[in-house]
Amino acid sequence: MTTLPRWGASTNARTQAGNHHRGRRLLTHAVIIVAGIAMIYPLIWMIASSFKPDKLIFTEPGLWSSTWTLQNYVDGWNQIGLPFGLFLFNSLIISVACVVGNLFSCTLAAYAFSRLRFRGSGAMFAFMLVTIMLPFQVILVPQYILFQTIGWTNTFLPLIVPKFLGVDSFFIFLMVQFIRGIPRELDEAATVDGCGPIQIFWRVVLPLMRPALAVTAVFTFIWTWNDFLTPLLYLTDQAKFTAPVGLNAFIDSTGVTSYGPMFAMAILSLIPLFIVFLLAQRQLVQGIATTGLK
Amino acid sequence: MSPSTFSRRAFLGVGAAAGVSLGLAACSGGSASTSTSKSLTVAQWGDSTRAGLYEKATKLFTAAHKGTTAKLQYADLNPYLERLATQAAARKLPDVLWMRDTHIGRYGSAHALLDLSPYFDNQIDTKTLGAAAIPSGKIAGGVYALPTHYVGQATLGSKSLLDAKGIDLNSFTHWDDLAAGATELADPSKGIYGVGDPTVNVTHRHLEAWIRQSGEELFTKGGGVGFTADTVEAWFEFWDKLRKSKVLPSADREVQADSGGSATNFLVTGKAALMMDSSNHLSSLQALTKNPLVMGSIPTVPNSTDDWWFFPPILISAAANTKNPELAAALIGFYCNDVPAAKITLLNQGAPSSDTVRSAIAPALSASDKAFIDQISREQKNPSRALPIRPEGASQLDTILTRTGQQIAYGRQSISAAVAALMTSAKQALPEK
Repeated sequence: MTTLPRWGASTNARTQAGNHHRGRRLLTHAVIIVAGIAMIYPLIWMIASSFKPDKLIFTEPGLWSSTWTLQNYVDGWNQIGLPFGLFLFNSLIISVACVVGNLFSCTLAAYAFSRLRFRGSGAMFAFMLVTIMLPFQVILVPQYILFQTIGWTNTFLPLIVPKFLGVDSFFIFLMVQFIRGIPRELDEAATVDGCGPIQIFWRVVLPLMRPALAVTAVFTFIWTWNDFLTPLLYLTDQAKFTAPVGLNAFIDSTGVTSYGPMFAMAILSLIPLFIVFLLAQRQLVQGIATTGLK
Repeated sequence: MSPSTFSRRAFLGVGAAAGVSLGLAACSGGSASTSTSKSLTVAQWGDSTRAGLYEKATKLFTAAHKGTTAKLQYADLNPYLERLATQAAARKLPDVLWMRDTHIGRYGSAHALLDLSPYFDNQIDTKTLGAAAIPSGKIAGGVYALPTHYVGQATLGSKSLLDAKGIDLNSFTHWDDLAAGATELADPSKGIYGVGDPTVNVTHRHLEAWIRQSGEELFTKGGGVGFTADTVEAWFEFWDKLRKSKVLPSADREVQADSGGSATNFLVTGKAALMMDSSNHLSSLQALTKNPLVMGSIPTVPNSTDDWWFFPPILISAAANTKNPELAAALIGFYCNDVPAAKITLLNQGAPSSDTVRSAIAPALSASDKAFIDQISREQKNPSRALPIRPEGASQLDTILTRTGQQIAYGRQSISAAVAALMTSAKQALPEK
C-alpha cells in the first residue's frame, strides 16, 4: 500500500517531465513546420496555379481555385511548336554527359594533384584554385569567340566538352581534399602488391571516393540542368533548346506571358531534379559530412 | 625512364584519347555549313508565338531570294539583350536583329551595327515609314536602325462607366479636363477609381509626353538630362492631387495591380474608369474583359507645343559584321514594307511603321486592333519633332522615375524633395557628353 502513492508520485513526475519534454518537441516541430511551409509555399503555389485556367492565376491568387484543369499541361507540352519533352530530353542528354565528364576528368585531376609528384604540381594546383575565383562573366566572351570560330555554336559541344577537360575546378578541389583523407598506407600496400599509379587509382582510391563522386554527380546534374545562360548563348536553334530555355519561350515580358502553361512545364522540368535528389540523398549527406562541403 | 614519368604519360594518353573519342562522338550531331549559298541569321525578342509568325513570314523572303536561307533565333527581352551583348563583344552579332530604342545609342556608337543609309534607294524603301523613321536610328551621320513598328500612348477607358456619366473620352483636351472627368467618374462607395496611377509603373511614356508638350525633352542631344525640375514636379503634383482626393488608387493597390500584368489591370478588373497606357495594350486588355473598352489620344498641357507627338519605335538593325550586307538590308526592307508578310505577323510587335502596310492589313483586324492602328495613323498626321536617341542610362532613368513616383505615392517624401533627389540621380545616370 505504501508503495502505491510513491509509485503514483513517481509516474506523475515522469509524465510531467515527459509532458514538458514533449511540449518542447512539439513547439520545435511547429516552428520548423511553419518555416518549412513558408519556404515551400511558392512551389506549392506554382503547382496549384499550374492546374488553374490561365485567367484565374492572378485574379484568384490563393491556393484554392474555383475551377481546376489539366489544360495547361496539354497546352504547354505543345505550345512552342515542338513537344516540351524534346527540351527535357536535350537537358537530360547534356546533364548526364556533363556528369560523366566531370566524374571522369575531375577524379583523374584530383588524383594527380593529391597523390602524384610531378614538376610544377604545386604551381598548377594554385593556378587551378585561381580559376575558381575567376568570375564566369570574365571568360564568357573569349569562350564564345572560341566556340564560334570552331563552328560549335548550335551544338551541345560547348556545354559538354569542357567538362571532359576538367574545368570545374571546384569539384577537383573537393576531391583533392577527400583523397588527402584516404590513408597513404593503402596506396603503399597496393604498391607492395604490384600496383602502379593507375591501378592504385582504379582499385584503391576510386572505390573509396564514393561520397565525393556522389556530391560531384548530383551537383553537376543540378547545376547543368538549371543552367540558363550557357545554353541560351550556344543553342539558338529551337530543336536544341534545354528545358530552362524552353520555359523562357513562354515569356514575352513586353506582351502577354502564358503563365499557366509555363508553370505546368516548370513543374515537369523539376521532376528529374527531384528524382535525382531523392535517389542520391543518402550518398549526398554522407558526402557533405566527409568532404567538408558547405 | 622512371616509372613515374611513364605513368604520367600514360595518364595523358588515356585522357587525350578519351577526350578525342568523346569529341568525335558528339561531333556527329553538329555540322558546320560551308556551302556557298547565302545564309542570314535573324534575332528577335519575344515568345514562341512571335517566333512562329516571323518564321512563317521570313519563308516568303527566302522563297523570293533563291539560294538564301534564314535562321531565326529568339529569347525573351532580357536574356535576348544579354545574348546580344556577348555576341556584340565577340563581333559575332546576328546579321539582322531587332533592336531596343533604349540600346540603339550604345550599339550604334560602338560601331557594332551596319549603316543602312547606302541601301535606302535599292533595298529599303523608307518613304512609307513616317517622318520619325530615320531620326529614330540616326547616330553621328549614319542610320543604324529603322522602325518596323510603332506603338503609342493613349487614354483607355471603360465604355460602360463613361457612358453612365455621359463623359466622352475624346473631350479631354487638356490634362485638367482629364482630372475633372476622372473626379466625376470616381465612385469610392463602389470601389471605383477615376483613373489609374501612371507614376509608379516601370515605364514613363506619358511623363515623356508631358515633358515634350512643355517644350522640353527627356534627353538632350548629348545624352544628358533634357527636362527641368519644374516640369516633372508639376507632373507629380498633378497626380498627387488626384491621389489625395481618392480619384487615384492608393500606392500599394496600384503597385500590386501593375505587378500582376494585364490580368490585374484596373480596367480588366472593372476597378477604374480610365487608365493611361500604351495604345497597343488595348487589344490584350480587351481580350481579358467583357466590358467594352474605348481609347483616345492623351491630353496636353495648356499652351502645349504642337509637335510633341511621338511613337516609340520597334527598331531593326543589321550587324556591322554581316557578310551579306545587301541581303541583310533587303530583309530589313522586307520586314518594313512587305504586305503579305505583314498579313502573317499583323500587330504582334505593334502597328506597322509603313502606312501602306497598315491600310493593307486593316480589314483583317479585330475592332480593338483597328482602333489601335487608326489612332496611330491619325496621330501621325500631327507634326512630330525628332525624339532624341536614348542614351545608355535611359533604362536607369526609368528606374529612378519609378522610385520617385513610389516615394511620393507612399508619402515617404515630399514632392519637392523627391524631385530634387530625382534630378541629382538623373544627372549622375545621364552624364552630358
